Amino acid sequence: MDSTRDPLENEPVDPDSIDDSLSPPNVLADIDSDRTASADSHRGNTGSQTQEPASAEKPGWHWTIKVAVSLALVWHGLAVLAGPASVNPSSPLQQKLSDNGVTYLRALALDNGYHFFAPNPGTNSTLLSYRVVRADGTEVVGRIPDRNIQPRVLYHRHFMLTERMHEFETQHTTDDGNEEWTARGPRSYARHLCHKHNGDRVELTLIQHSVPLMESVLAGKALDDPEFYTETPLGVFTRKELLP
Amino acid sequence: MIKATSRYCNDVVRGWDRFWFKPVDPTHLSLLRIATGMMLVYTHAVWGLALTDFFGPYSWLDPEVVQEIQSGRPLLSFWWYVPAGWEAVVHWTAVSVLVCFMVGFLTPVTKILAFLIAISYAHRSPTALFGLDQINCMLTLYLALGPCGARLSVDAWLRRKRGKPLIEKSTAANLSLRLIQLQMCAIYFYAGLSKLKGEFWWNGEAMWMAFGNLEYQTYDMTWMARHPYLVNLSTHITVIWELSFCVLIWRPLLRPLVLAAGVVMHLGIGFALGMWTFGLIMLVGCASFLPSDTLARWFSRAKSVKEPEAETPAIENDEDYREFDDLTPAADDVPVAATNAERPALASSSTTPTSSSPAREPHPHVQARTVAAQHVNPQTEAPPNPSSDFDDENETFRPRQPR
Repeated sequence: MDSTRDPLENEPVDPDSIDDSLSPPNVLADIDSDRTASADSHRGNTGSQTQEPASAEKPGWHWTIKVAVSLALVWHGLAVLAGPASVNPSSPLQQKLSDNGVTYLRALALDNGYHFFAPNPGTNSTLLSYRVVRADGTEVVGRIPDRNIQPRVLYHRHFMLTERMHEFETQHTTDDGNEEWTARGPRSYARHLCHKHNGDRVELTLIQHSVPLMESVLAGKALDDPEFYTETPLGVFTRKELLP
Repeated sequence: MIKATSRYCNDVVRGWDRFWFKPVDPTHLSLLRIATGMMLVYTHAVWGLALTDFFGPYSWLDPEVVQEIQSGRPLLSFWWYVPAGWEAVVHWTAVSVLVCFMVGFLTPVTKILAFLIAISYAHRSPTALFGLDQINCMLTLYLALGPCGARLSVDAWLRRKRGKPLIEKSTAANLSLRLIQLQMCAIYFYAGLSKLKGEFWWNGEAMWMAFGNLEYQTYDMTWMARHPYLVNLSTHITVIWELSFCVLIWRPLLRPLVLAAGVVMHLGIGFALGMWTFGLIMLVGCASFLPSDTLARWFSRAKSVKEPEAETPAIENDEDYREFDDLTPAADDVPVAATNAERPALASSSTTPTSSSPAREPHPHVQARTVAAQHVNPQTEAPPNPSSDFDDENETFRPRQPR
């Protein structure tokens, strides 16, 4: 009988869900036959001649477990809501809730803001061009993201590297005692390029590619028109400082 | 007043209990496992094309700097412990585990490992991530909480072959599905809410800023510049859809429309912005709102058996969405004297012992009550149950019966 025990049998009886017109023998017989048929169906056997075992139905959870799980669900729900709410601008209350509840979400990779294309889609894209000069004078020149990178998901990985380059920063104290944030992305990328291409020197340039207005496109401008690009040198990194 | 309050509290508790702890067939969860597993295998296999660029000691993101940034945070990743030169071995072993997860082999173990693998890659390469990885990790986490390998899996095939019983219904399966559903609601809600802060989402140009971005574009979408109203409309619909998703998705009549709009939006993201992986994984999350019972029937080989009582589902099934649908009166609204005479579902199901649908099983309370009451006449003919107008199995409303 255990295999046909209903998982809800521990629940309080709902008078409205009871049909007094059924006789006990028929009901019990129906339960058994339904479960067997269902089990057969999952085995791909719709006939009644099977000798295979019936399905095992897990019994319902004890109410103490339900209470414990419910408390955990409430906590988790609050944490899930508090995480994205703490993205700036946010109130001290939101930040407090986030600080207390999001730590474990961060460990579970659930601490996301879910601000897809928000608050505004970017008015420009961030690209990175590089020039790696080897000791023998040869050069490797490139740009990321490169639209020739395939498959597309790998292209997006590279695109995110440049789009989020300046999120990758650390805080330190300057000589005059002030706290300062330093972007670590450019140097890290230069280190990678220097090692990959066996370079002696790496030059990085930040490229901002603006999204043209609709009017500009209607006026005949192409999306890759040079006027939409601006370049800013990020620096020159030597092998000695990158790969000591 | 006290009685009404007590009754309300009782209803809330029962609603909570039904919502979170009602056992469901694990077929739905297993389908989500397959879809998520396919995406995990694909996206992680692609990492392999540039493995040392992202996970080697001289990767784009210097591992020491990543750890420095993450200092004080418990961000688990096995990549911190992989010695140089072993990246490929570890990576393809991880992909093999993900394949096992996808096909449902040793699922109780591989579902945990799949989650650890997903977050390990995410934590090691944080600035190379985008929405795809967030959803991958979320789905893998919640799938790991339920019996996602109980159906459509190598494990299930092996259990049948060995003569062991399958899990028919599971509370944990429902819990996993509910967590995915609520997380999807939170995602869309915040995605919509955050857009309200942006000027372009108000002036209607936001979609142009996405379509006109050459770095995102896979197809030339500049023709939209000639149709500014279309740009405006798609912008406003996106915000409205995202903001209202968490409310409308619980309305059975509107759910198909909400999901259909989601399909259009996410396939549009895939087509126009080249983000097929992100669009598809969001649709996997949306698929958690599909009807579990219907999916279970579709994937049951017994579907060829005629189900004559489909128009009179069991009481348990009738109450699935009552708490989300005020069009359906609560069971307590039906006079007790009329209720028993007007509920034919169990009588009907008692005449069809070969039914394969879990939704038509007699409610357990019926079993308990009928044993005590010793009633007779199980073949009572009665009109359809008026206390529930919504037919979950067919996702339609039944005509009301006069009371």
